[in-house]
Amino acid sequence: MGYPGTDSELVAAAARGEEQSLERLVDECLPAVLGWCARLGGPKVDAEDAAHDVMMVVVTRLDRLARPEAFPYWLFGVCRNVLRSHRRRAWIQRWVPGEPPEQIERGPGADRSAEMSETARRVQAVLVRLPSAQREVLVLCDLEERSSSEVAALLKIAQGTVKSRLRLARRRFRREAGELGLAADLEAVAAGAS
Amino acid sequence: MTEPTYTQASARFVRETEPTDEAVARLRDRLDREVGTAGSVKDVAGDALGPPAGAAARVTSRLRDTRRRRRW
Repeated sequence: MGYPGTDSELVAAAARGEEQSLERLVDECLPAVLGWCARLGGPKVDAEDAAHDVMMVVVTRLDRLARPEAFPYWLFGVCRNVLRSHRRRAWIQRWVPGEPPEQIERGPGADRSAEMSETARRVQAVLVRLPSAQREVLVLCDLEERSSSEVAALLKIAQGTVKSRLRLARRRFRREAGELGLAADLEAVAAGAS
Repeated sequence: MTEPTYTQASARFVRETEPTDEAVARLRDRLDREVGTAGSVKDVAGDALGPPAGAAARVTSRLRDTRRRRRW
């Protein structure tokens, strides 16, 4: 699995304001960004809202990106920052009295978290309990099945760091999953015992 | 009923959070509608990526204010 925006020439052309290139880049990024927002955001974050904000930043600030080849890392960083601010906002809203804020109408099927099965919701609850650095590598490596070298490039960290974070994340995930009623896999138990 | 293992549960989570074509199209449409008064990503991108400087910042700031008002 690749990640969006690896074509530096396309990114550079989009940054210069070439319409078709920007359109292509947006189309390329949207599914990946939406997936990251859904998997990394947690239950309190509206993935479509967050993905929209990420794409707004991409469209309006792409010209400030110094090196087009850094685009995938930059995109993931924007995604991370937007999710952080959405989580913070969701936390603050818990303490604000009065009516909930007006929701933007997005048509049927927009709120996918409401349609999530109990099983998927439990995985989401486990992921939320992980430190964000561990959650990112677990989602990218284990759930999205990206290679450790790919994830290292995306997060701009060493491959060894990806592997050690992943080891910690899996251990923590197993512990938290047990508490939330997910059964251990036999292979995972064997791996944990060794 | 037996509990799902975490491999099964994770696979289900991935499936259920997979962006659907419908969601992507909806998001694309929203982006097109919201970024530009002329109604297209490229229209605002044109402002954002070239002169006149400051147009993009004004659009972004106005959108941010609108969203903030809606939420609070």
